Amino acid sequence: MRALVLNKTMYLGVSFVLLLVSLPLISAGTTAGASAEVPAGASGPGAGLLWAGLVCLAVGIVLLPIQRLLTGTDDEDPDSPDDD
Amino acid sequence: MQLPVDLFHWVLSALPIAALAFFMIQLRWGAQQAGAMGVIVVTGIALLFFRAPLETLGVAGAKGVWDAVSILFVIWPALLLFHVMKRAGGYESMRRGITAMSRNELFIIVALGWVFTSFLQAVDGFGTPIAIVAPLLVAFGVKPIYAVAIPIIAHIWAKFFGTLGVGWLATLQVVQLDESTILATALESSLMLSFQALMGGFTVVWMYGRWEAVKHGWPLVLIIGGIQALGQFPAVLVDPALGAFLPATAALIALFPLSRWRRYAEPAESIVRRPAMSVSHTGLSADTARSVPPMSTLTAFFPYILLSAIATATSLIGPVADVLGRFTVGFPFPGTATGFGVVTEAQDTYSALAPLAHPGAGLLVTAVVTWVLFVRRGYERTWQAGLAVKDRSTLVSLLITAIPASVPIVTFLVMASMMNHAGQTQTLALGLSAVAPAAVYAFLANGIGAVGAFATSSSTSSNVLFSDLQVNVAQIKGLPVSTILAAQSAGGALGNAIAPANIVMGASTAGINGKEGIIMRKTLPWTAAAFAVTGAVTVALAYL
Repeated sequence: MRALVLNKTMYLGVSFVLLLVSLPLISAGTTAGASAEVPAGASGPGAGLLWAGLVCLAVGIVLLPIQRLLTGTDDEDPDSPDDD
Repeated sequence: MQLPVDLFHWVLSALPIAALAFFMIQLRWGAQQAGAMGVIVVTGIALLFFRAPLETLGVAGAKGVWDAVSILFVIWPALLLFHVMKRAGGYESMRRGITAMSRNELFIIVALGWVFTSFLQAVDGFGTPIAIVAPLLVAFGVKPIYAVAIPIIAHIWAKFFGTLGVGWLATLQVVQLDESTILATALESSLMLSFQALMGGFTVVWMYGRWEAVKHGWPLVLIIGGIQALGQFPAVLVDPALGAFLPATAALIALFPLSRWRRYAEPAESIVRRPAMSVSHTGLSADTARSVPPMSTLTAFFPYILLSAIATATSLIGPVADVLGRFTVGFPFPGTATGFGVVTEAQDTYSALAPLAHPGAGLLVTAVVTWVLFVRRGYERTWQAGLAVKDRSTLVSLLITAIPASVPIVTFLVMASMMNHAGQTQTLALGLSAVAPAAVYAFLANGIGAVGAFATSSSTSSNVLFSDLQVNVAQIKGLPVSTILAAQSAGGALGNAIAPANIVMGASTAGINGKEGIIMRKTLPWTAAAFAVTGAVTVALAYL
């Protein structure tokens, strides 16, 4: 867990994968088995996929500011002579 | 739709954008964290105040991720090309060749940062110009911050008619206009973009060497800017889809005779202060400066010649474009609705992507061909052997740079999509149109386009979002439709100068991830000035 938070490429990579994975999960979860009688979505056949997608989306997003709050920074070089 | 267009909800709608700008510019957070905060803010506001169901926001979020894929398909191959070139000494070879071609630094920066960038925007777009030109400028010795800011500002004029008219065609899809209004819109857009071309040129020169550079470079700016600006008018009369391509190509060709003009062939001794340049003209470490690159300048430029050829061929040759565009991919999404009646339709294939016709495909082909060529000729091995500190492998370098560039772009587009599905984007535009008198609205119209481009990092998306609204408001307020629509188009273009995704793209290929807020501080003043000038031109056209 510590390595995940401290290694920039690792936590960004986890966030990136979670965000990408949320796309097919939400798409499938909201359209799977949809019909005029049985709507897709939170109560439909794809509910499990939808909630999995929402969790991936939420964790992928929230992971980013949490990392900053735990470590205090996200920059490798906060000061640079090119900053003028 | 019964959106509450009152001050309270208008302020709430602006909060995610304000939060994003605050975290990036004021607090200097990295783009990924700032973008994530923007998503969190818009989610909370949508759930609590805009009656957006969680499922609607989930669908919006997933669509935002898919919207980002189109941009990532440019970034990853662009970064692959960047690392292939860097590991083989390609940029050092390029830098030496450029220096030999002209000894005038200002001319080279104008040629690369303005003219070549504009040409790439005219044929490719999707952020390719920034991703390609930023590392070229760094290789030439431009400070990375300026290497990103300069092409971002300079290519704005070519956004609307660029990518062979994608923005123009998308606008026509969402509005119903007669032939005369279509022609008037094209011409008035060209006029507004002309000011952006000239402002962009003078800003590039000023960034390089302040007023001394302007005194030295004003003839060059007027000639190049004149070709780009005035060239739009005959081009749009032929076909608006060529409105950027023809003048951008003419300006590129004009560089050759201009490089023979003594004023721009020799160094400009009068320009002493050059804030955009690194201390050393090479901008490189002593280690690299001693090494002789293993390839000729022509070989180093080969990838960019190949890319330009692929982009032009796939865009201009109709049968090729048709065949490549046949294979598409996309995801289905259901229709959504909020408690305020903001509805989006169900789609079997949302925003279908044609991967073979996309600029990313040309970039990927260029990167792979270049990689194979450089490895087989031993350039990579030779160049790395001469370095005291070896570069990481190409693929590891790609992952380390592409992932930090990708995450913020995904967060920005998720945020934009959620704002749209919750009705916040519409509230922003409707609120402005409700309170502003006709003349004030005319002045602010391009600002709506700019906000759309800022939120989506796409002038095309801004035009798709707001063109219909702008036409309706123009008709209600008795303003000329063509003028207001042209203002929307010009605003959608200039908003890209502060669009976070564009800045992230440039920062990643210039090797300065995390400096996005500092880059935005360079481009924001230009954007504000361009907004004011465009607003004044809009009012003048509407009332004169």
